[in-house]
Amino acid sequence: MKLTIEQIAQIEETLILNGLVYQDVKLELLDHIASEIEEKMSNEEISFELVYKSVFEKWKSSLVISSSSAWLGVFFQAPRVVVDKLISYSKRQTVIVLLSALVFGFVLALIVSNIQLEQTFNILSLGMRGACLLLVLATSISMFLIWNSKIKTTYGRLFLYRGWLLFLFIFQFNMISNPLKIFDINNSFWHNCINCFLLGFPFTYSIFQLTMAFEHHKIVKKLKFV
Amino acid sequence: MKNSQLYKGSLNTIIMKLLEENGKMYGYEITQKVKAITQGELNITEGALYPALHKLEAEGLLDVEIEKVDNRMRKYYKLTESGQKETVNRLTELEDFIRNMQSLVSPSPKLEF
Repeated sequence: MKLTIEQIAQIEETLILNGLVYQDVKLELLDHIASEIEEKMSNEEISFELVYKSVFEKWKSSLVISSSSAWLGVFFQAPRVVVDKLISYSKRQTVIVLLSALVFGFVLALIVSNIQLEQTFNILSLGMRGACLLLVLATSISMFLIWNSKIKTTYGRLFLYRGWLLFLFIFQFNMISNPLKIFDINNSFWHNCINCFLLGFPFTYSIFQLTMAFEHHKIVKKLKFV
Repeated sequence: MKNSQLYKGSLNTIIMKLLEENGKMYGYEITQKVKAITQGELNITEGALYPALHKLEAEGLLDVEIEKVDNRMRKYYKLTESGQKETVNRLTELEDFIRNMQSLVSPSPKLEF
């Protein structure tokens, strides 16, 4: 027995009331719940209202509002199913960001230590400032677009929650005027390597934050094609 | 899920195997397929299914397609290219595990002369 548009809307409303406003998760939970209700109504010949209540009872633990201070920060709260999804994504992202920053730091320290020419130093500094400006521009535009987007996704929410940290990093490392000031020729190679890793972290972090904005736009695009 | 601790570690492989056989599937379909194959012995709960699907998606092993079906949208999961390769690896691992468990639980009698 297929559910009516009104019955589907009732399920959706309940999900939204439980904080599930993110399309990427909401649509699959809505479809799962609707499919289960349809099958129960056909097999057991009972009313929609009765099945609806018993099915939602099963989803209580997935819809309870939770958080993960370790992976998402104390202020991030959402239904458990959303939090679990973003924890999986964040764990993978953290590993990639740290490894990329380590490689970036090592390569940068190696270049600057071995080619001690002012010209090389200036080119690297200029390149980093350019990359930094591009990241600021891409992050700002993405934040504006996601903020104004009618379609909310889990990736969009996390991007808005974390993306602004790039501006804090820029301020802290003085990236716009002289990003390589942390490099000191009198320090040991490994000391400079750590400094370059710290400098590389905001870059890799922001690039991978932008992948979340990209994931958001991918979902929006898929939804618009349906 | 029945005997959840025993099945937990194999859930991702079960999902990947089903997707390998069926091409693309949606969440509810996966739970029903597992129930049908195991004749109701194994019941994947919603609380276990979606975190597993989302984890596989985050790892780049699954891709999603969205279609409109019966007044609502349906999200289909399918294996990516790397997901297909990983399925082969994980199935081999699981088969080895089952064989080793079988040897431990019911060892074949030693022949003595």
